[in-house]
Amino acid sequence: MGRQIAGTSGTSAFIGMRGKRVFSTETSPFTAIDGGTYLGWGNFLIQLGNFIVIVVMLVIFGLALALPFPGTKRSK
Amino acid sequence: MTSRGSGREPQESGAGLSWTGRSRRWLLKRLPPEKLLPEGQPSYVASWIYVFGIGAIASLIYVIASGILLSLNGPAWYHVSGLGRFVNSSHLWSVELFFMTMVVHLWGKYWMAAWRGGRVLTWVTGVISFAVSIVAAFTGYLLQTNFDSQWIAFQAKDALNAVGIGAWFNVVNLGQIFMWHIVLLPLAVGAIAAFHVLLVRVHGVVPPLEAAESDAQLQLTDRERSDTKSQGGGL
Repeated sequence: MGRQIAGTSGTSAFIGMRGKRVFSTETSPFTAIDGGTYLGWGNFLIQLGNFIVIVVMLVIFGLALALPFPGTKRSK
Repeated sequence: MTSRGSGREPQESGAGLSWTGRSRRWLLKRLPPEKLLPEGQPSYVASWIYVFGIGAIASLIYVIASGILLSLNGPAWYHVSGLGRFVNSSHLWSVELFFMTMVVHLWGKYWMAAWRGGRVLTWVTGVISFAVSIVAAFTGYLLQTNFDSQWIAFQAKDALNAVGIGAWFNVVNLGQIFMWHIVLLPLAVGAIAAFHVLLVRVHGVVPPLEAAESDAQLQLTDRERSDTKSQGGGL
């Protein structure tokens, strides 16, 4: 039996009983898929990537309303 | 037969025009060249909230261009070579950018009630474009040819079978999904987005709520607007 190490950027490796690497996807053209990271508050559950995208969109929306447009003067 | 030598130009207002002449007259009335390619915009357009529509279009152009490269070179290139994997990844990230800019554009237009002043069809084509883009992105996830796409396909097939369209839109049929993803859905998204932009040109950019008095279309009453439509204006 071995344990799986879920790495970042799509790499993973199975480590055997003696700590010897028996399989690696680091050089494989097929990237490994891991379960991902989830955030939860009560019944609310969201994947970390989706959460980041939503927060970034909200920040961009707020900045678009707040920041002045360059090269123009405000006029009604 | 030609009208050469008759010395008479077709009457733009007459009923004797052919269907091409009537189409030209209708198009020029709806969308004259100065509206199609304007040299200036109202002052309220000088705001960051107005850049996300063109941001979405720029992202869509990159999505389609990178998709053409991927489809011409094939998976043996984009799954293995360094440049191929870069283009493959940038295809995904440009889709992320496309959706992010489109969603911020949607929020901005929603909160300024962009359907005002006879712009309902512009709003509706934007909504349809968003919905079709989601289906296009979904078929893209199915084409990763990895365990992720297999998982997504086998979860989705149950939902699609439950609503009765699984026989025609078979998410576990890779060839069919390729056809949807690289031909039919890009054509649909491109056509709807182009129509959406043309409608913006026809009706003009919607003003913020506090600048409503500066918009000619908002000054038209509902009666005047319906009169305009009954006189041949369909857009």
